[in-house]
Amino acid sequence: MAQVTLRNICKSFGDIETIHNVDLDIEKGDLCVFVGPSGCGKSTILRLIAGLEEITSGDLNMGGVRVNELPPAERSISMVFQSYALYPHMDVFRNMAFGLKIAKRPTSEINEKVNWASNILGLNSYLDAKPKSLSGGQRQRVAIGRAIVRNPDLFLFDEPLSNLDAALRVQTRMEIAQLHRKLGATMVYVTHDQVEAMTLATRMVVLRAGRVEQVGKPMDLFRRPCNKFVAGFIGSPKMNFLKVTLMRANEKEAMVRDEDGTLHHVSVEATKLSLGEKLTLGVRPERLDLVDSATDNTIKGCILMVERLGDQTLIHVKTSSSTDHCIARIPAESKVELGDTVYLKVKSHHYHLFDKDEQACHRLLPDET
Amino acid sequence: MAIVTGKRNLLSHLAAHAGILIFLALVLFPFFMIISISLRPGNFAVGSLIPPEISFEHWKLALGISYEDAHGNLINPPFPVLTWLWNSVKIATITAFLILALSTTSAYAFARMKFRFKGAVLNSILLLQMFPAALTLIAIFSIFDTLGEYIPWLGVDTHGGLILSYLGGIALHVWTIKGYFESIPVDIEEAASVDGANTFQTFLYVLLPMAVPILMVVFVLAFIGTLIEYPVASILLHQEDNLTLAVGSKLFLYEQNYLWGDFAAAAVLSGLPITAVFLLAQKWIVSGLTVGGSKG
Ligand SMILES: Nc1ncnc2c1ncn2[C@@H]1O[C@H](COP(=O)(O)OP(=O)(O)OP(=O)(O)O)[C@@H](O)[C@H]1O
Ligand SMILES: [Mg+2]
Repeated sequence: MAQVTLRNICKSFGDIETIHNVDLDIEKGDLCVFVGPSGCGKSTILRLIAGLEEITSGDLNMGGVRVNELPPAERSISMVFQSYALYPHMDVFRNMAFGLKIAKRPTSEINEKVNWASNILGLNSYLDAKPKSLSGGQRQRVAIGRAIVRNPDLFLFDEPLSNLDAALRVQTRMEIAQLHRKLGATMVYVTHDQVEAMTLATRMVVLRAGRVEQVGKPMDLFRRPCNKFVAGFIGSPKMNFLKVTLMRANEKEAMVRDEDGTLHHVSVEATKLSLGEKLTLGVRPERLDLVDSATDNTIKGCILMVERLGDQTLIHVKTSSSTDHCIARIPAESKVELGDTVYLKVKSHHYHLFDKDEQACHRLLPDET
Repeated sequence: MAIVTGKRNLLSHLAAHAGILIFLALVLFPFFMIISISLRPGNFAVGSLIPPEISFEHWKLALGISYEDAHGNLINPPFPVLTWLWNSVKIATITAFLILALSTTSAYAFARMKFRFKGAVLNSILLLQMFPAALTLIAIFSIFDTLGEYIPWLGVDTHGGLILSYLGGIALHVWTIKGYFESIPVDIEEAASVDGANTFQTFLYVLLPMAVPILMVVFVLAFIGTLIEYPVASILLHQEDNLTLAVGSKLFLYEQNYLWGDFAAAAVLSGLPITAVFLLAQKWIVSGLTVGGSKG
């Protein structure tokens, strides 16, 4: 039985509906990551689950019981707020201990839990400090500590690592993953960070403008995005899109032509498409290989910018078909210069193809039958 | 002063100091005058600021001590000034605490809860409060006269009744506290409710501690307001032993004989509790209690 289910949830602020018919099942033990552009309603859904906003319509169930009307205190949740929301008049220790004190836990347990959390989060030397004397990252860690000292049925994290430095972020991410495994806890986690989303999630939910676009395992979403938005949102640098026209289609392959006239063979189930349809071809930056000359499945362009990252190089290429410029991730030792004309080759099964409504065609991947 | 200032500022500094001194003189002169009158022998309102001769006769009377005048007559204190002072302090303290309790809880409701007619109620209590209290005196008298028939300790000439009548005047305090509550980010209380605290615990452990400065301000204002209140106290209290200092000290000024000296001593005395309460409250009136809770 799912721990949390959202059924047809809508939320309006005044007359403006911001969350539209969200359906979602979060299983027990899931670490469910919400991603989506700023303002798409991630925090709002979290607040609906927490009971901090009233649900306008729809049903929210937790552990099989409808909880729409239950106050937050009775939902057995803990939450890291995007704004931290620490108690400014309490020191760090009391901030973390507050929930346990309210629950009337014995002092020994409170001390043990708080010390455990402050060890993990590196807050030992700040236990007597008030929030106002802490840095943004330290405050955020206190907020995480306050959430993890308790043992709720559901953890809600709203961008909990956004203000930490790179090293601390990796370390805290690991701690959260470990915590998740050890407690078998159910978590909902909002993040803007691709790496966090891909590595932590057991399920990933992509949101756009208050709607769920796609739900699934991170790798499934990465390999089989259901539409152009999800394809563009997951992965960094983002997927390249080319404007193409359908020349030939069958159940094994679609042949499309880009604006240069080059043909591309795409391994997708293309029976639903009609000849001459304007389509979008997608390919991830790491699937583009430098070649010497134009053949089928190549993209020709002129280098606008070269970003050498050390272990790899990103080239931004101006092509005639792409809406934006194309980005290719190529080996660091490749000799490319600004202004060069390059040919980038793609394997047929590395393409994605989207119809005129931006819905993805089913990809035929070689490791699946 | 950390900021670097140029030499030219010296002149404006001097001007500012001169201005402050003039202002201080304006404020302090009447005060010194009163002290001077209370230390002068005889009952004269006018005279030099520094009395040529100092006598403690008025203070002795105010503090309830008899003294012998120049002719060897024993003069007994005409009025129980210390009892009045005690009445005033008692009534003002109880009233201030009750006002604080009532106005914080109603301010919480107005600031944080949703209910119908909230705006209308909020505005009408303020408007009703604008109605001059002096015009309601008759009504207040008859209300408490009747009330006393059913609940004697709330009737006319009881301190309970007077305190109850003061509790009607909380609209301004409700507005003050409500404004402060609204300046506190609501997500801090949301965090508390997620942490398992119920509404009352959130109010008590999270909101109130952050609002201490404004609570102190309201306490001091309510205390002073009650201590110096005259019209209502003068019609609700009659027996000499029951009076507050504000009402009682008026007795020194009867038609045929203005006892300015005794009046002045009583007046200085009534300023003492105000000073004491203010000094006590001052260290709680600090800013920045809510800093650091929320990002941005
Ligand atoms: N209390 C509110 N009143 C009115 N509109 C609101 C309120 N809270 C949120 N919204 C609107 O709901 C939408 C979603 O906001 P939300 O905070 O959930 O976005 P988000 O996905 O968390 O964004 P971010 O990544 O920037 O945190 C926004 O358009 C916002 O303007
Ligand atoms: Mg947000």
